[in-house]
Amino acid sequence: MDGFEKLHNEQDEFIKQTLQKDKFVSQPIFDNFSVNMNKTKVKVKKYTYKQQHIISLLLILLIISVGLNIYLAIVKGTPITITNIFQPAQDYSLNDDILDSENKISDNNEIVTENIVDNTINNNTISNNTTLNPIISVSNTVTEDSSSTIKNEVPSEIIIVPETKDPEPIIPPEIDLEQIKTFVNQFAIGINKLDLQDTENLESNTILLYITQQYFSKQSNSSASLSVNTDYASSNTNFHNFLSEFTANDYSKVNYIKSYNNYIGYISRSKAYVYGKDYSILSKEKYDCESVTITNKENDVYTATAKVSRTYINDKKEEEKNNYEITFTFKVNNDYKYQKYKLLSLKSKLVSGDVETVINLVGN
Amino acid sequence: MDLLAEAKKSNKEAFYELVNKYNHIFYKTARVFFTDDKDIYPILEKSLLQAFKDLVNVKNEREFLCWTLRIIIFDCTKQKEKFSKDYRRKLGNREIAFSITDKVTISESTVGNLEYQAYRNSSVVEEYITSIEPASRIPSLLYFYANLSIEEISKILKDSENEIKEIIDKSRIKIYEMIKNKEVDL
Repeated sequence: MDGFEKLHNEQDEFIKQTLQKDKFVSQPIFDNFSVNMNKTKVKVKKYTYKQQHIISLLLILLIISVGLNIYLAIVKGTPITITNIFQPAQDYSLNDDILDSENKISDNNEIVTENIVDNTINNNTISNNTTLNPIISVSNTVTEDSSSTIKNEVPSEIIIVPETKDPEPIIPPEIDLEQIKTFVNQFAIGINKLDLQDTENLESNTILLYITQQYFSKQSNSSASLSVNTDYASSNTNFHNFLSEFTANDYSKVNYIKSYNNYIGYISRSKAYVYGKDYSILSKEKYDCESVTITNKENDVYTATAKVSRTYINDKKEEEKNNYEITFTFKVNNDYKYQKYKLLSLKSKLVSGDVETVINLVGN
Repeated sequence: MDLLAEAKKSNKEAFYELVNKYNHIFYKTARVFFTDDKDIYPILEKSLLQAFKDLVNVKNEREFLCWTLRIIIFDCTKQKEKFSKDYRRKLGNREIAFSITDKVTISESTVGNLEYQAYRNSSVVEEYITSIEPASRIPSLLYFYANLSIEEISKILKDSENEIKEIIDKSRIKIYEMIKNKEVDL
């Protein structure tokens, strides 16, 4: 303690002692106060100022949250419902068609019966083949001789069976032809490019990854859910699960699928597939399945043919069109998350008269 | 008996006894603002009632003293401002240290003398306190008479501790000299 401080302390003590001797007070003031106070009903408060502030703050927060809930309920309308994310899309078309939400077998499906007429000289043969559940196969053979009279000669040992009408085509209940059409539209970009048996084929892999990405993008855009659906994220897990359902190959243990990175490639850091610089070339091709026919079913494997038209927008912004007849085999997935149908094989043939314009993919 | 604890239970007798322990400090504080008991009484009653309601906020008697003084000073200041406005109209905006009762007729030249006379005959404390400048009166009273610390005074008046310390330092010299001179006179 320095000299000044000591001096000040001494002075303070002196002043305090002098002043504090004065206890003069106007006692009537306080007597009156005592009397009046006894008359009042005033009481000590229950909460401190801090507690009151906290309670006020909590009340304000409560009012705000209630108000927000009421606003969301009334203004936003009906409650948010989460759609069934496991329901596969009905339309896999690359043409941005609206998804068909109904998944039922059409009542008017018919199995097309082919009538093959083969006109040869002196020998007209009409054969009538009913492919599914054939009841009676009738073969009428009419021969024409030079006398131009038609004689029906029936060998005696043959029992004449009355001609019956062609049986109605039986549509397997698990098959919806409209779904098969959209399925065809989904993989039609693989015409002349897909090789389902060779998992090392870079072009084929690129097409498969492109098909997957297109499917996921469509599902994400069409979902009514407000939250981001991670099942359609471009992760390797989601892609591999999709392709394991889409093809007969198992990609579940594959780290990543090799492809032409300039179209679609894999980033190991983020474990996701992303479009490359040339992917827009693929989107220039549009495919449309005009008709599809189930031609055979054997051991759960369906064989079908389809007529597919291809439209390609060239560099001059002109449309180039050609048509294909494709034959493919597929199975129905019993337990699936993304794909109801599994593509097993694909063959294509250009319709006669059309010029082949499909350009195979090249990596760079 | 713990007077504060009892008073917190809304025991008015305990509160009254507590007030009586410090009523000289409360009264002197109010006297810095008003010379007439007629003006002081309603303010003190209101302030003490408020202090009673707010007892839940204080933890000990020292806090009670500071809390009550704060209420008294605040109420007195508000009332004084109201009074000052009225008298400022009469005196032509001249600042006055405290109010003058309606009974006294004032003129501009005698205001200062009347103020001094009103205090001179009341108490020693008031005599010395009124001798220093108005802005220093409350801090000095709280420091020397109520024996509060610089920190407590700064919380009551919501001024910085340095400012309070500066005021006390200036007042100390004046008051000390006054007391010493008076002793010499005696």
